[in-house]
Amino acid sequence: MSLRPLPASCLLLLALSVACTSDTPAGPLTPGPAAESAAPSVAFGLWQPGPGECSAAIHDRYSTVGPDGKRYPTWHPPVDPLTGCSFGHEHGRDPRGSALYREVGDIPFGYANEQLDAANMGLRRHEDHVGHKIEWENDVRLGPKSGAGAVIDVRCDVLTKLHQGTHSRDAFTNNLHELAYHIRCSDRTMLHVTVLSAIGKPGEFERTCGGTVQVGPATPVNSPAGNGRRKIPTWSCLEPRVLVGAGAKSDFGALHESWETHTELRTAEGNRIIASFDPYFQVFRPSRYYDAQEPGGVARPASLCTAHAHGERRARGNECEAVQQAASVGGAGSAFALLPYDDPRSPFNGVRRQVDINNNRVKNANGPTVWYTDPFGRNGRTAPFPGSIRQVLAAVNNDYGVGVNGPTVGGNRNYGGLGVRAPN
Amino acid sequence: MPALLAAIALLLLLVSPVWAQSTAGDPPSPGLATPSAIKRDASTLARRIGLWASAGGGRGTAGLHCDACRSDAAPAFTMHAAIGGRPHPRFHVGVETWAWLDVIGNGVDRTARGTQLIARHYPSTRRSWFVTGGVGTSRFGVDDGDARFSASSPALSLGGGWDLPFRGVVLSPTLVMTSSTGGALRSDRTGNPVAEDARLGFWRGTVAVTWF
Repeated sequence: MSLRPLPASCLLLLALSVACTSDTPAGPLTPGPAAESAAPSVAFGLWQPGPGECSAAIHDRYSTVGPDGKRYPTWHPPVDPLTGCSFGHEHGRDPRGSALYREVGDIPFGYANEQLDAANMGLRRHEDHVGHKIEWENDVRLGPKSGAGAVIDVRCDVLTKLHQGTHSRDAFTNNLHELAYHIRCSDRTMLHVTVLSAIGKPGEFERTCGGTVQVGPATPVNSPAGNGRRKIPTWSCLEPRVLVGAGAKSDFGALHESWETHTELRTAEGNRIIASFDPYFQVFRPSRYYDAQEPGGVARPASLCTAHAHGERRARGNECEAVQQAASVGGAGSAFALLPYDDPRSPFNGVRRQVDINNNRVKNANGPTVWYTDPFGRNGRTAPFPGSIRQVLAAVNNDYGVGVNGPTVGGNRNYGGLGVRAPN
Repeated sequence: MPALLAAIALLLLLVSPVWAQSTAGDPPSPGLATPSAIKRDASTLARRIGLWASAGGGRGTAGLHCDACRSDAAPAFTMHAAIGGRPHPRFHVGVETWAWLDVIGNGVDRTARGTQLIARHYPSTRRSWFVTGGVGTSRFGVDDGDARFSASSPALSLGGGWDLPFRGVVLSPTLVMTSSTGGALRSDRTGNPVAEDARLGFWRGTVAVTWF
């Protein structure tokens, strides 16, 4: 039996006929004018269509105006609903279903990168279009560790956008990736943050099976290091799990990237941390892995099903059957023919992802709810400055002395669609 | 201040019918108990004169309610004790303390406790049933031996019961609802609030032994 108590004020109502009360919602963060007349950002117009795909003009219709008044690309479906043409890539979950959309609005892709240009920090970092991936979930439950779960039940709406390109060599060396992170929880935790998140160290990445791979200089070469890490599979990680003997199935779960971010907002005065959060972004079956023997280190998983056969040991399983069937249908004539990595029939396209929501910490009790930071989340001030990004956070301290983590969102979704292919 | 106002209101509610009616030595007013009915319950009423004390136990269901609270209400054992006096034959006042303990397992306990000023009113001279109310403080907490969270706030109680004479004492089955006005649910480790408006809801059904 679940007995919800009458509020004390309602007890009083029994005696005094006094009414009970409730609370109020918040307004929009970024109301925007029409995008058509706005000056284009660097990110706007970057994408170019492949054969048979929607035109760039159709693609450009999906744009929004950033806080700087410039026009940015934003989320669109993989297939244009008006014309039926395919864009060949996807950006994840439609943000309009998020409970936070009313506050956040359309997310401008590349805004933090653009602000880095304006910040005059001697750094320039722009990312491709297809890597912008949105994920969100409403009313997710964050699980406190230990016995705190017997009394605390924190529920959150969360909306994330990370530029997570998993098709090129970019992330082998580059650790700066645009992250928009929005969360509002029942314990009054609230963050609306956009940064260039420094995920690990520049010039290197971590193997999914352990160890660091030094690759070369990053872009920009003076990229600051961060506390997270980019875990990317390498040939040495995949070989023992993918190449299997007859009768066995390859473990394509090893073909999995995990970008474990750690982002901090710090004040200019005292370099004090006012917020931090650690979402992990994972991509299953991306269209690349690292192999130092390949040009740029970029190897294609589809080739595992065709080119890499060590005697009886080779890649087997549903993924390879799909690749081999597609290659045969394509006229190559052999079950071991090569399927282009960017063929829409390849299962290695990075359309399955998930985000782990971890450690949303706000240390801003009685502080301002609006801060302006540089694109890396540092030098937080209460007034804007060149290249600054407006960050909104609750005026609370949500350190309870116990971890409040989880859950994983998006793991049960597949963002593939008509024509979606690598690079995605 | 709201708790104080509530307390005053509650006490006035409980007291007002008493002062509107006759005292033990007055002739009965129209519509009140007949002399024979009063005589029938006289022995019980007589035992209510002077000081009184009460202690009991039973089952209670407590839960904490706020935007970030897990509000699963669970039945568990509860105890209470009270002591007081009687300024009027049909009106008792006193101080009560109560506690509730829910052993969840794995070293995790949930507790609720409170102390309050209470008033008890016997509306009928022919029956021994009563209504009771109180105002005081309450505290709800969860403790796993490592971390502890608790919420304290003013609380109001309202309930009713029955006096049953039994071998020189009085057994009083009672049902009471307690609700707090809402307070901060804090981590005892950091002092930071998870919620500012955590309200305790507590129902208890108990049997008390009362001495008059």
